[in-house]
Formats: sequence, structure tokens, C-alpha cells
Amino acid sequence: MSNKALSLRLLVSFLALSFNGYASAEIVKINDLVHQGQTSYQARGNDPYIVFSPIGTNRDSKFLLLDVASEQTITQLQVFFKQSGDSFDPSYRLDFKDITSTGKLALKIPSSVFIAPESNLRLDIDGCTACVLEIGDSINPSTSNKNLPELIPSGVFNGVNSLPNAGLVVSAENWQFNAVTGSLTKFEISSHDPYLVSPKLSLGTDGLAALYVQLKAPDNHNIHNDFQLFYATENHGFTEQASSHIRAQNVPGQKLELLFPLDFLSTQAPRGLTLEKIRLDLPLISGSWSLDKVSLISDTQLSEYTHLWPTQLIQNKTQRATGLSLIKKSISNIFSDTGFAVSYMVLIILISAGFVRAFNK
Amino acid sequence: MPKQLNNRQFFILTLGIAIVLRLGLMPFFGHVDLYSEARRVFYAIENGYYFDHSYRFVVFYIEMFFSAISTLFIDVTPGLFHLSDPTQSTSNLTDYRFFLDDPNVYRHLFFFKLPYLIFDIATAIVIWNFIDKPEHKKIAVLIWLFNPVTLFATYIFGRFEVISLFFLALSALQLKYDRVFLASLFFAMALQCREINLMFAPFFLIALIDFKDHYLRNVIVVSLSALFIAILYRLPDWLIGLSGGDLMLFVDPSASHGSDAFKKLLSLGYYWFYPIVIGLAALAIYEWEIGQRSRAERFVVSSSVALFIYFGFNVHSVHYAAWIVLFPIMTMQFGKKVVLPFVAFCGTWVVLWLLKTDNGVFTLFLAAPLNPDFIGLGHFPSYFQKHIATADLSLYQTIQITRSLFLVVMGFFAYRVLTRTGNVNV
Repeated sequence: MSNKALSLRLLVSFLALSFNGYASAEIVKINDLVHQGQTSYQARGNDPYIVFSPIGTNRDSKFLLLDVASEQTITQLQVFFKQSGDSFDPSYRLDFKDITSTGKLALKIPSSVFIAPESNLRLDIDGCTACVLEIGDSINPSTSNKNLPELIPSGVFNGVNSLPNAGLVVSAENWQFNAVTGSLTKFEISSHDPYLVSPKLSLGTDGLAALYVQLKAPDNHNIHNDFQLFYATENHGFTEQASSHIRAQNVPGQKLELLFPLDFLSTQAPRGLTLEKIRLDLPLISGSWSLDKVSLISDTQLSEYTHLWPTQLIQNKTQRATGLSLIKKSISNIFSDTGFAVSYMVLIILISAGFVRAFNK
Repeated sequence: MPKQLNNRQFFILTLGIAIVLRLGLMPFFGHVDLYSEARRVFYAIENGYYFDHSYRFVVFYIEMFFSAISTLFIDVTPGLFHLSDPTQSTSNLTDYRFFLDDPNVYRHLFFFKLPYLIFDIATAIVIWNFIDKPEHKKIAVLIWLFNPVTLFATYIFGRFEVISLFFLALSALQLKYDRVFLASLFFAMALQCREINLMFAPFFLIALIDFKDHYLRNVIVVSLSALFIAILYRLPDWLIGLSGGDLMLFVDPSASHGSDAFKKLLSLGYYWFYPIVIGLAALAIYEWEIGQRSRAERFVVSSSVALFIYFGFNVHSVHYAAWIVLFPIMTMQFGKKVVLPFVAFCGTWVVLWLLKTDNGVFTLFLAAPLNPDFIGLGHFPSYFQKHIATADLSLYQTIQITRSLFLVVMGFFAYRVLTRTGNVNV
């Protein structure tokens, strides 16, 4: 096997007999792969994947069993499980990242996910663009892990990750802290650059209007402070170019409510289809904080939150207007202050008329 | 044949067009420096800090007055001008972005530039009255009202240079009528607008000398005038001290670059200082030598050439070029042919700053009040580097060439202003 080529053997074992009678799946299509033998394939392209015939899962299926033997650790697999015409819907997929072991594996199917028995299945092997693969001809569902090492999906896209009309409260579990000590319900800032990172959201941005944050800042100050929200999508991680600032005044004894508009993610190009995670950067204020609620607000809910619309807001977006759309937006901005726009035009007309009159005198 | 406009009609028509043009620019453009200045002003208003040991009293009080009026028309967003540390009053981009995204941004820009508009138009009126010949005054007012440098510095960049220039123009107008006391008063006010005006002080004092008069009377006039200007310059500071005030707003106590620069200046540490000192000294001698001419001519001509010398060897911010505009225009009263060098000056200024700019000085960044998406749209130096620059002609070399051309234009300007002539304008 060539040193240049990433050598990888992927064997899909035939274990159907022990899988409660479920049928195994057979390969019906390959992409960016060239068949070299019965089980051997040469990757030739950026997007190698295999499509299996229906695998006959039912609602008791908890795992997909694979036998993966590799000279080099596979780092990422994706399983797409909803076919739409000739393609697979990316909003129905399981992501397995940071894979550390090889051999026989059981890919965990979360209880919220049901892989239709009549559906084809697509297995993507990322990071393999020129390697040699050895692939069996099946992938098999199972109700148990058969004592194989389990792979837990790092991303679950089950279609239902689109935002419900009633919004979605972000779980208070699995938040990560930086320069912050304590728990979400009571924490203190310990050093510079304090921020809180949400658990993985993997949420479709269609219908997403804003992010609502309710928190309690220390009572010992009432000055204006800046809060910054970073939002990671499938296009980018946390970056200054994709963040919003809100300046808000703390009122001692009251909770702070912040509303970060995010509607542009789905409405402006380049679209961000999936909101992966959020990060909230806090001002450097000593004392006791708490993050009481974080929720994602849908279009239909927005009218209930208009009173929270920030008066001091900066939106750094990868989405930006250029050319004619920039000019149109600029004109629209002028007319957004209707009182000013009207007074301004009247002033110009009056001054012009005054000079014309003086000129003709 | 179209009817010839009389002087009054010409002036009204010109002012009308100029004001509408300015109104069209005022609310929609600005540099972050304008917000920094507005933040200082609103900080002083909100906290009632009307007196401190800082400087530029005249400009600051004018801006405070108009900002206070603006609050009648603007519901100022709480925290918009918040300044947690007044010694660090220069805004960063984040604070400026909050200003840009404020729903009242156009109102703020309009009102903050309103005094600039008033003093700008007032300066045009002073120029109109300073120059006697109708054909000269028409050209002078046209240049003043429609030159790109003043329009850019005042209404696009958004700085207060015109207030200072108004008092200098008014001072020159008083000298025309030999009103020494009023001329000194307005010159002192100009000093309270901009420190750079100190450069004109020696030429102002020399211009006061009436060589036909007795030397003792001249000594008294010049001494009293100098004393008067010095007292007016220092008076606010003394009064504040005497009243027990010790505020020192907007001055960073840890910053040493100002004093360092001054020490360097005194020790001739700046390469550009040598030709400037030599040039200004020679200019003072020249002004003495033309003592038979009127006070106003000596002051205006010498101040013009002082600016040519200063800018010939030293370039600061883009809007500082607005200082060059006033005095050369006023020399048209004395038959100086300044139109051609003025056109050359504007041309080289545009090219120089297209090449020298950073992302926020001479770019679409200044249109960010219209839409923040204008920020970061690129600038000419990067285009030059990508499409024009060659191994033999780098951006740096091109800037140096243009800078040299600017010096040549200043020399051309100086030649035209120093040359005695009678009637031609071009």
C-alpha cells in the first residue's frame, strides 16, 4: 500500500443472523470511489460515500454495526438516513466525529431518531480523498451493541431540529465556561475574557428570529456594559466576524433580558443553515452572576419580544450587502427614522424656497 | 443672451446651492473622530463639567451649545455617549458601531455638524466682504464653498476646522479696516480653537506694525496686542484654577507622546522641523521687508506661505489640509493668481490620500452611518498593490512621488502668493 495514500480498511460484517432477523444492506451506489476488487475501493475525489440498500430497521433498532479495521484512525463518519429523490437530506444525518478506535463498532442511533426501514442509507467517510478502502457489502441494524465499542453521534440532525413555532429553550446542561467559576445558576468571573458556551444545538435556522437571554448581573453596579454573542454555524466557528454586541444597563435587583436578532442567518446570503453553538461573552464585573434562561425565539414568537429589541446593537455578519442592495439598504436606513427623513426633506425644501425667493427679489 | 447675475444674485444663488449641498452630506457621513468629539461633549453636558483645564474652549463651547439644543429634538439613547474613563475619550470601533446603529444617528450627525455649517457659511460671508473686486470675490467664494478639501474635512470626515478658520478670517477682515483690538480678539479666539494657529502668531504681530507710524507707538500696539492675546489664551485656565476647579478632562495622564514630541521639536529632533524653522524665519523677515503693504495683506500672505512651508515638509491627518484653504483664497484681494495652484493642490491632495489612507480615513468607511456594511469594503492602496504596483513602482514609492509633487504644488502656490500682480485670477 502506497505511503502517499491513506490506507484504510472498512469491513462491513455480515451479522444479519444475530440481528433479530433484520436484513443486511447491500451497496447500491458509490461516489468518488473506484472498485478495485471484491471489497477494495480506491477513493478518487473529495466526497467519497457509499449508498446502501434499505437495511430494514424498525423502532427497536438502537445501533448500526460496522466492522472497521484501519491502519489509521478514522476521524469522521456521517450517516445520512433520509433520501429525497436522488439525494439525501442533510438535515437528517448522524455525525460521528473524533473517532478514536477502530475495529468492530456500534454506531449509536439516538432514541429520537427513526431510520425508516424502506430508506436507503448513505455512509460518508470524510478525510479520505485518495486512500484505499476495503468495504464489505452491508451495514446492519441491531437492538443491542453486541458488546462492541459504542460511537455516540456528535451531531444529531433529525429534521425536527428545525425550530418549533413555540421556540426552544436551550438546555442548562453541558455548558462550558471560560474564566468563570461556579454553575449557571451561580457563577463568578475569575479572570479576563469570561464567556459561556452552550451545548451543541445543531438547529436549523429556518424560522429563527432571535436568541433570548435572561441573566442576573451583580447588584453592585448600574453602568452600561457590553455583552457579545458569538454564533457558530456550519460555515464558521466562533469568530468576531460572526458576533453581535448589545450594550445594556444593569438595574440592581432586576434581571437583565437581552435579545440578539439572528433572523439574518436564514434570510441573507450566505445563509447559515444550521446554528451549531452559541457563546456569550460577559463584561468584567466581579460579583455573583446567574444565567437563568436562554431560548431561541421563532418568527411567530417575535412579537412577544419586541419590547426587548436592543436599542444599542452591533451585528457583525458574514452576510453583508454590496452594490445595489447596499444602496437600497442605505436608503431604507434613512427612512427608518421617518420623523427625521420628513423633517430633513422639508428643511431642504424650505431653505431652497427661501433662497429662490431672495434671488428673485 | 442669458441675463448676467448681479453680485447679490450671484451670492444668494451660490450660498443656496452650497447650503443644500452641505445639508445633503451632513447627516450621512462621519469618521470615528466625530463620535469621539461628540462623546466628550455629551459627557461634559451630562455631568455638568463645563469648566476644566483642557483646551479649545471656543470650539468646545460652541459644540456643547448645539449639542444641548439637539437634545430637544433627540431622545438620546441611554449609554450611547457613555464614557467610563474620560482620560480615554478616543472611541474604539465597537463604541463607534453602537453609535452607527443608533436609531438617531442621522439626527446626531446633523446637529453636531450644524455649527460647522453656520461657521462655514459665515466664513464665506467674511471672504465676500474681505475681497473688493466683484470678479475676485466671486471666484474666492466659489472656491471656498465648493472645494473638495473643506467639504470632505467638514461634512464627510466631520471635523471642526471651519470654526477656527472663521475666526482667522474675521481677524484678517478686522486688520483690513485697521481694527487692531478686534483683530487681536478674534485671533485669540482662533487660538482657542486650534493650537496650530499659534504658528500664525508671529506673522499676526508683525502685521500689526505700521511702518509709517512712530516706533514707540508700534511697540505699544504690538506689546499690548500680544499681551491681550496671551491673557485671553490663558484666562480660562487661570479662572478655573482660581475658582478651585482642577478638572483635566479627556487628557490621558499617562500619555507622554505630546511632551515627548514637544521636547523632540525643541531639540530639532524632527527632520521636517529644520526647513520649516528656516522657512518661517525667512518668511518673518520677508513680512518685515514688505512693511509698506497693508496689515491685512502682510498677515494673509505670510500666513498662506507659512502653511505652504508647513505642509510642504510635513503631512498630518487628511482633514488638516483644510487649513490651507482659507488664506490663499483671501490673497485674491491682493491680486494673487491662486486658482491654478489651488486646483493642483486639490488634485494632489486627493491622489496622496487615496494612496496614503488606511481603512478608515479616505474610504467608504466614512459612509458607514448610511450602512455599516460600508466598513471593510476595501481601500485604494490594496487595489494599487494588486493591480498597479510593479517591482519598480511600489506603493511606498508612489506615495513618496506624490508627496514630492505635493511639495512642488506648495512651492507653486507660494510663488503665486508671493508674486506681486494686479488683476488676473488664473
